[in-house]
Amino acid sequence: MKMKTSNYCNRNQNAASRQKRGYVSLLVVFTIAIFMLSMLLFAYQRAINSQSVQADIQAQTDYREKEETILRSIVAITPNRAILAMQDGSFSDQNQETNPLSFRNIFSDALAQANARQSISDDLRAQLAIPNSFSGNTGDSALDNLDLMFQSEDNNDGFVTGGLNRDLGVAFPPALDSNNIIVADDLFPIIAKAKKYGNRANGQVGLPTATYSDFNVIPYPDINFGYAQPGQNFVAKRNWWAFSMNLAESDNHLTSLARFRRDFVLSIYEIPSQLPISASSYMALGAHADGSAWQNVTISGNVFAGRAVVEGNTALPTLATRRGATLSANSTIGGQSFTGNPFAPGVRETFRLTQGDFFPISLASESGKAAFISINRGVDYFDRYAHTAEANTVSQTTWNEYSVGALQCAMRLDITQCTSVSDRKPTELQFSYMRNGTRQVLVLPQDQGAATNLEAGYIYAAPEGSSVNFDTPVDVAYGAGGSYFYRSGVSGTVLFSNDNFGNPIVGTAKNGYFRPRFPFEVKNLPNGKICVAVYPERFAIFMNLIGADSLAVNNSLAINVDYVNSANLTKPLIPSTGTDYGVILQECADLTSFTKGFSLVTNLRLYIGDDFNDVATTPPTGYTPPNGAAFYPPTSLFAPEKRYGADLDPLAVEFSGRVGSVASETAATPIRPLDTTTVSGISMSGSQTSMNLSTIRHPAELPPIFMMNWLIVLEEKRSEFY
Amino acid sequence: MELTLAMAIGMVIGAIVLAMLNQQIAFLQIFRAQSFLNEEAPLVSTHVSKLLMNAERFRLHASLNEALAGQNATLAASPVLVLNYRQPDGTVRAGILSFEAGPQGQGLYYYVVPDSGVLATPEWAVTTRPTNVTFSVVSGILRCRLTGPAGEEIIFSGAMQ
Repeated sequence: MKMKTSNYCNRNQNAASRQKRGYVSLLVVFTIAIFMLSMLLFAYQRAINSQSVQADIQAQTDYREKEETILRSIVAITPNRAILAMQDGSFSDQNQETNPLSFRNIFSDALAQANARQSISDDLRAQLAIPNSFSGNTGDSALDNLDLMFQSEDNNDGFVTGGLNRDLGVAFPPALDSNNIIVADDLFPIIAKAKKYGNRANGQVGLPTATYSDFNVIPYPDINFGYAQPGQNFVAKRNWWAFSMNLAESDNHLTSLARFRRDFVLSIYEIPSQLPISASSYMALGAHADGSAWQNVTISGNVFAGRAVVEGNTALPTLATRRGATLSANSTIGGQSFTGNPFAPGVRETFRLTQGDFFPISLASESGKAAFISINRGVDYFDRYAHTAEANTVSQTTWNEYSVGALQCAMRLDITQCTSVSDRKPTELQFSYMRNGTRQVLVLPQDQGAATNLEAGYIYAAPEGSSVNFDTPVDVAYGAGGSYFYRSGVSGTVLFSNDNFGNPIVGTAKNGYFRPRFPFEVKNLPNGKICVAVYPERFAIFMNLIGADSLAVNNSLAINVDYVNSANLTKPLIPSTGTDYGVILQECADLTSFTKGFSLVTNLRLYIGDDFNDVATTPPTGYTPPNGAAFYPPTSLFAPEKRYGADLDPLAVEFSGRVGSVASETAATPIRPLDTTTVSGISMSGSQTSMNLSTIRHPAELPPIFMMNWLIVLEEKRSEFY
Repeated sequence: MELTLAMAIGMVIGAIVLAMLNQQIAFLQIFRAQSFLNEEAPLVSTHVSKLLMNAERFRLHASLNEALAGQNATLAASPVLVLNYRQPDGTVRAGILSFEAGPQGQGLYYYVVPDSGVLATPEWAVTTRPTNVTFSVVSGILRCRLTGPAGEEIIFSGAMQ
């Protein structure tokens, strides 16, 4: 029993002893486990923290990258929508949610174009033959709440705040004014002539806005594309719209990501062509078609080309292109010889450090959020009859009115009838002009006057018994029904009455007629080509005689052929053929009567038969030409072909001004902007021509008609500089 | 025999635990050493990238004084980066990123250059952990090289607008 008891006691003691060792083991195991678990949790927490930081950073980076791409898409989309907003029927849908031209839909389309919603589109999946795949890009988002992502600066109904008739304060550009309130400017990108510089911009632009409201002098934006140098004053009008953007706002309920709204100003600069050589064309610079190098050519200012090839030893001050340039080994741009690709990474940066801040050769695509568009309608620019009327447009200025030079002219001279299809002799001209702000039309039959059997050239003056005062001598006629009495070289007050003229036809009411010295006529070249001769120096007297507005208003002339309404006339061909009409420009040396300048636009071959615009005049008040140079009325001549001389080939041509072209920048063969041809079709050599090409630096130098360019720039308005 | 076996197993377990502990500590040390790349560098990248992407122009200089004077700009590795910001109304302001011994020690500091052109204290310290920061321009691309406390390096690249 004792043994049993003893054994029992020993077992109890052993059990107690095992229980104590078990506690220790448990404690050790538990401690080690806790320790290792803590280590594991700590490491896990660090990993979680690191992952969280990376996730936030990735989300921020993702949104920022998307925003940058969206902004670039906005720059690409907006000018096209602005153009469409000027075209026929663009305002048939006035709802900004459904009209694709609205800023709302520009922003929406920019999201799609930037692939901001879906990194891989369904179309792309289909093209890759993986339609059932799913995207692992966690950055994909519906981004469907445009109201949260894009907002105007003043909480208006649109998504932007237009810089029109309102000041937005510091850091925003000077606003434009419009007497015609353009409400839609907050909803649509509107380019319109009614948007002008007014009192709001006065003092913030280079010149008084009361005088220069259409275009003024403003600084060129800070972009790489060198139409002008950054900060340099140039002639332009700046349309702009402000908005704020926060792409993360739409996903805020998912990400809780803190991002600041960013404010932006989207600008469309309207830039009249103002460079010595400026054309959105494929141009060869430096040599003539016969291979001889340019001689006697002075270029003062930048050169813009759609695409360019620079030949020989040509030295250009600068060269800005849309589609790039090919440089010969010996050519220089801005005094710099580029042996390699001037657009290679690092070339610009190195140049800036060693040569100066302005890199003389640039591409439009080199600037991030900027685009340059040359408004080039091609040969349609010259032809009023190539266009149909536009109505119901978002902008008050229609696209054709804006971009077709022939439609912008105050005066229009058309060949409206000819003898027959085979006999192209014009039998009727039609001249229209502005009087008291309204267009007037003068039909001029070439075989008779304004009445039956009245001599050609006589136009209606007044009814029988009326007096008309003629400041300058004219021929007058009085009568009716084919019976007229004539007097030549009459001036002063003329009474059209039987007492004064006698009675050419008894018992019939008569009228008075007069025949001025016309500033245009049908005239043939020595080779027989039928032309319309224009004599600009005669316009002042003629327009006064017919009671037209002054030449400050009637300052531009379009000469076209009405092939639409006449069965016998056909659309002029370019290049001009032997049966096409031409235009001769003579008596055009003194254009000082055109106080706002003179422009001529025609789709016919133009023969410059006399000295053109070589009489200086007094510059406008407040404008002093640089370097004490004489001031000539600003002029422009637009024609598909120009030839020098009318009766004889000239021995030499001196040219001062600017050169442009409407040729395409994608053409296979480059145009040569300084090539000149005589009336007989002979190309003049470089030694026969002298070209002094310079830049327009003041709106007073702008002619009535000019080509237009748009520069689209998107800039951030920073509340802080970081 | 049992005791021997128990002690042997105990010693093996102890050795394994010690080895794991040692490995864990080593791992944490590595983790801590590399935390600059994992946690600090991405934040620095975010700030610096934002500054760069918003700038219209940049210049590199060897010192703050040269940066303020606009002298001796270079493309080579430099501790000072001048950033130009143009507002839509045409006004221009500048900011400077400078790796220097600043108020919080050696670090990367950001200054907003006031209209007076005289720098005061930095706007903020972007980071004080790297032992070196240099900016350089390679093939037109701006590069920012950060050297961490353990000698690790990370390079950010970007371009102006």
